[in-house]
Amino acid sequence: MVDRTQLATWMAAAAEGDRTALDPLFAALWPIVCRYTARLLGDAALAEDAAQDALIALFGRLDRYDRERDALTWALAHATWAARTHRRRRQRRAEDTLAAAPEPTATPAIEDRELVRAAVATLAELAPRDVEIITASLVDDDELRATLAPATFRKRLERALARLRHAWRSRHGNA
Amino acid sequence: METPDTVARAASARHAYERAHVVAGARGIAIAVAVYACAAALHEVDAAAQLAAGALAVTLAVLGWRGGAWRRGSLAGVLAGVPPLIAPSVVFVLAHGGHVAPCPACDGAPTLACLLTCFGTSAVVGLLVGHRASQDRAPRRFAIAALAAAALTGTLACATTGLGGALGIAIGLVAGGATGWVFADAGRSRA
Repeated sequence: MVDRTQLATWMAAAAEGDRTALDPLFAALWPIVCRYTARLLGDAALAEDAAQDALIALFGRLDRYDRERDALTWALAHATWAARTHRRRRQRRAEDTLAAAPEPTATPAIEDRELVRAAVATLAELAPRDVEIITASLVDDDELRATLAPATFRKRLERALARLRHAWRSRHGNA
Repeated sequence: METPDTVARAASARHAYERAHVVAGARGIAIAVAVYACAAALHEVDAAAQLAAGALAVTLAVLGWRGGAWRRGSLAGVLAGVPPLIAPSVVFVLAHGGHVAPCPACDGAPTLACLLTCFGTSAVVGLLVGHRASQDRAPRRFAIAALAAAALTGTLACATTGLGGALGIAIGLVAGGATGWVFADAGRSRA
């Protein structure tokens, strides 16, 4: 059970410059913040890092502690922020790992050829204007890409890809 | 149970706390430099004023690092010390039809108007600081820090008016504190 009054007393003392309140304050907050970030992140190691970041931020801002507010809520607000930052960082790392992963080579060549043939056939159904814009999106130094404004290019590409998806589904279903 | 990992994490949190206090101390030095620049622009700064500026920088750095009421009091003290630093020059300019020149107090001959301005302005600001000190969580620490910072800031102008200003602060603190306590007592008895 968390003694909120005691927590507020330690926090107020530390905010007033009393260094002796730091250790008991950390000892009281560490398990609470750890449990909280673990519940938010679902990963014990990541939760400990987030809890540490939260408490470092909290201790760095202790002189701004407002005694009118609940000490535990203030600490958990820091923990929420730190957990959110760590979650975003983890997501970004996962995306980078996916992007850096080598292209799968195990696909049989026949399957590849069939996929290419199906894609070309679907592309052939599209208007030349759509084919042109999709090709331009795959080639960096295309003339069309250079002549269009980026926003116009993006909008035309989105529309062309939507039509390509529609054409693919009508030929091959959701595969 | 405390593991070495937890101890290391606690040390990091403590370092963050100390870092914030060191930054506050550095801010105190920056304030002292700004006040010194202001004094140098308005007055002829002699060796005594330079010594006072050094003492002010050290005082603001230590009180800023200490934190809490010490820091709050020192900042309030600087504010209380600014009027005796600026007001004599303003009064001199107004009294001489807009003619800007160093305050005559710097030549070792402070005028009565100069002294009265210093004393009056710092007493008024001191009243406000004293009132604020009486409402602070640690009034004694706040008042000591404010007195020290105000006296040193005021002394930057020149010794005579600076001490007059410091006396004004002392009177203001006592008067302001008394006023604050009277109001607080009245509020309590009404409740």
